[in-house]
Amino acid sequence: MAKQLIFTPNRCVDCKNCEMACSFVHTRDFTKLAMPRVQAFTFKEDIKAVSVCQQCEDAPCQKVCPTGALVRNPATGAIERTDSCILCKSCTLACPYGNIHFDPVYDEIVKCDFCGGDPACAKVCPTRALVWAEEPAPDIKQDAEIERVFTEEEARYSANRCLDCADCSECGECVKACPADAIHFDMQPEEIKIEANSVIVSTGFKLFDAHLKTNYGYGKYPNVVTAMQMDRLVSPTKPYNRTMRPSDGKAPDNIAFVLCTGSRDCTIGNPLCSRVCCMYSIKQAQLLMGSLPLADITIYYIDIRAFGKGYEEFYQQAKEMGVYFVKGRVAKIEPVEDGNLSVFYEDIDGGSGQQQMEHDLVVLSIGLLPNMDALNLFKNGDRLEADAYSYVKEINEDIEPTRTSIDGVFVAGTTSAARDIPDSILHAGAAAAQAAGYIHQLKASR
Amino acid sequence: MSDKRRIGVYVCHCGGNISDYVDVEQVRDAVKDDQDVIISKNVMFACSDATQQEIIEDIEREKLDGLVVASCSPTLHLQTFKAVAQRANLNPYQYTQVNLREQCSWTHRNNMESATEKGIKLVRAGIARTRLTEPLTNIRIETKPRTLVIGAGVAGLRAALALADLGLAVFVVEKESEVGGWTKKWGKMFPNNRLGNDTIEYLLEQVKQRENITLFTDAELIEKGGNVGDFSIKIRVKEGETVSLDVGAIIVATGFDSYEPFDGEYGYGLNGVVTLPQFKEMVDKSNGSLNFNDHQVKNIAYIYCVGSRQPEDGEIENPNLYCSRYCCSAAVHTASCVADIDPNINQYHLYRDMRTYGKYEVMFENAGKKKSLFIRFDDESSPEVEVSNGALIVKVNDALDGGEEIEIGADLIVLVTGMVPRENESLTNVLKIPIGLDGFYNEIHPKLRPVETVVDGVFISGTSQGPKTLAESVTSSLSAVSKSAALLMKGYVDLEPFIAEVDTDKCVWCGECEKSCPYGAIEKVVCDTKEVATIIPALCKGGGVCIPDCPEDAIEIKGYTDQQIRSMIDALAKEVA
Repeated sequence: MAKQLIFTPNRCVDCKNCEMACSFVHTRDFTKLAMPRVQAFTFKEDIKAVSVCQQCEDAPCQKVCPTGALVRNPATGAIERTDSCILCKSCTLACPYGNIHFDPVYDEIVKCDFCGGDPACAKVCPTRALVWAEEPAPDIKQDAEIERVFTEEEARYSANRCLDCADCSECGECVKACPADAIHFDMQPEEIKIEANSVIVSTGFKLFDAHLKTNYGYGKYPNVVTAMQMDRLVSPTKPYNRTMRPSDGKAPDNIAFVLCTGSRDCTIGNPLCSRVCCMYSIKQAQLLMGSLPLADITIYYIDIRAFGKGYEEFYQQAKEMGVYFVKGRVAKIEPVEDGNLSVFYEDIDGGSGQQQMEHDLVVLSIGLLPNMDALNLFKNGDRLEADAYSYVKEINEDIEPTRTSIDGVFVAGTTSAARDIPDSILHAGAAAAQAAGYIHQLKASR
Repeated sequence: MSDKRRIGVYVCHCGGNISDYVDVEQVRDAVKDDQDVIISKNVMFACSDATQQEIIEDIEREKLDGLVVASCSPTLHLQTFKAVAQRANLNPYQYTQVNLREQCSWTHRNNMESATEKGIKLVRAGIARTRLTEPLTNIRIETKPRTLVIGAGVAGLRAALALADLGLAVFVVEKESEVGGWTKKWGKMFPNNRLGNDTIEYLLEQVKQRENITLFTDAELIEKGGNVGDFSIKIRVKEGETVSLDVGAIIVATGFDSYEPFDGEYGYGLNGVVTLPQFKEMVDKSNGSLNFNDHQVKNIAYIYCVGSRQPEDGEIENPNLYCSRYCCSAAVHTASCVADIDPNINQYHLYRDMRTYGKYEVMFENAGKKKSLFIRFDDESSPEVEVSNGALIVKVNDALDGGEEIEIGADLIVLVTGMVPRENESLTNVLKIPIGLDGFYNEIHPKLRPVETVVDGVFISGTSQGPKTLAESVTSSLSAVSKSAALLMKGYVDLEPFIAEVDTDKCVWCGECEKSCPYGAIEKVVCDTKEVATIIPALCKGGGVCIPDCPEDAIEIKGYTDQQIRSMIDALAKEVA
């Protein structure tokens, strides 16, 4: 008789060691996004069970597959998914046990293949609820006769040691792999003393914390993300090489951008415009049009501030590409079915008052705030003077841009105001000229 | 050349920019066994630090004597990879950049197979050229510690001061008889209400205190020769006199023109329809109350985006597609000034998007608090100006109120006009710097090199580059100061060695080349009793006009020899197996 995966329900403690072993063996990933072929769960409060493929003799999945992609491996008896799979997902509906799945992250059908004849789940099961044995196993009903390797407590401890975070275990492999020699484990903080005639403060900005805009549900609804997160999702080196939404890895097809999140908003204490959000949102919208050509993209705005060189043309280009621009501030965001979200807004251009629209991913275009740490950089009691909004003040912005309240100290970039990259670069160039001039004059006067 | 070469080839994905349309793996494999190719690799981003390091290690380990990177345009990254070669002790002139992005993937998005084939040919041409490269050395020249600033507006004057404070001599050339440009004409300017005239007076006073600034008014640049670090220029000063100067760098600060509406554009030409600068002058000069035609002004309507953000397919010929950046802020600031004069004046702002960016948002808020009403109109339904019973009326569909048509009676209609590039054809021709689609002078790269132009040593600043506020103009002019001072204070500049070279065996001195050279860079010398041509390196531009004029085929441009070009053509013409 061939070996089988045999499950004994009253031994299972739902510790999920089996799931993790499965996802690791198949994908080298411990993350939740790597879908395991075996699933442990608790139902009716205290019944613990593991659901694993029965490898049915007359398998419905195999019968329904239009391309014959599910093939039984005679060596193990497992039905395996082969490369001729066309992802029609018929098998997932056909399985009476729900043991065959579509994994949206890896874009493939996943099912148990007995790990080629040595199932990892059985190997790691600490209570021997899952065993890899010939059927019928003589001892299966005589639970008491089998020695448990772990108690329930130990089993849970063992499973919980994994933090499910792909965090550093200090194995040192990265040090070897990094071509730029950028990783050091033995670095210690050290103080370096530098004597300088002039200082340029370019400590940048702080991002608005989207949690503070509570009616947008950031942190509460997984498919409400910030534009910084979206930037990662549309970058050329994005995770899993595809754009997907956080809750279930699905490719979003109806995305909303909510402009002025944390800007031009006295309710969260920032009356200023952040200058960059309109343009980065339009950029992301254009990139999304490339990576998800069928997706609808809507940008909710108050005013589109495409004021820089070439910006207006870029905005018009996005309109021509089919990005919807809806004038109206978003009032609140609420969850609906399937992880989707309902966006409540005032339809100003359409004139139809308060409206709501469903989206499957909402991007909050968060604004810029001053980095107030900059004000206290100098320890000898000299505090950099701040403007009314807590940015470092340029004491004579028109004629002496970048000059601060401390002689010889200059600011560059977003330390003194929200700025986009071209303006930050120009500002930095001005700070360099100011600092050089200051030093030159200092030396000349000595 | 029969010598065996050792060439490394790197084919870049550019994160999909190339690899989405060109099969970069196929390109890599196609050339990996080609003659003299030691390494053929794919890289995700050739310009990334990690890949640069990888290339350097490959060059050192495999003792490569030639490098080909197939990535983007040389304007973007030629210098990057020349520096990579240099860091690996490979002569930078044995590097060839193949433009697989602008000239291949981006231009052939619809046909991957053909794009890949073209890609292979382009890379082979690059390899062919690299095979024939020889180490070359830069030509070093001394820089002149002097800068020419063109334009004595706020940007030009501030740049002159900063340069002078760095110990560099400055010549400022102003076309008008007075300095100060637009700023001098204006009263209170946003955001801090300082008078424009005060700003100019202050700067001019400072300029006068510095001995190393020479100011020419009523003057014009008429000639520019030489090259970066050592330009020889000619300025026409009063009464047909000219002055010749040697400078190391040039900063262009020629400013902008205000948009002049055409007759009938939003009622322009009617009594009471004025541009923003005209209105600004009225407000600046008002004394206690705002009057027009001897009547106290009660109602003002502002129409925004006049001359800016014009539709591409509308009736206007050569529309200004761009946003003029400063006008929203300037208009709401002016409205606040009006409210300070007479708080009872009703002010209606007809706008499309209120672009009071950053901290200027506060001025928008303030205007709202001071009895300004904001009415938004759609791009498709512009306001209309009419005269009814001798009074001005604006009709507009209020987008904030469901598109309902409203009529506003106004004593004054202010057309919020934008900035347009200054008409300056003769100067542009002298400087030979490029103009962008919007008509303003074009920088090399808005983020990476925002004040540099394709002409080395010529920098652009202020509104000559695009619409800016006063503070932004000064910021950009100081940025140009940084660039030109860094260039001049180093004391020397290295020029590329792509100049002509005479084969003295072939040359019979017929003098044809000397006649053809526009720079006077060729002269006769005696070499081993034979009369031959010789090249003066500092004057030769590598233009190559002498080459076809030479009956003996005795002249070549270093780095672009006939043999190299022929080998590239051969490689491009050869079928991909």
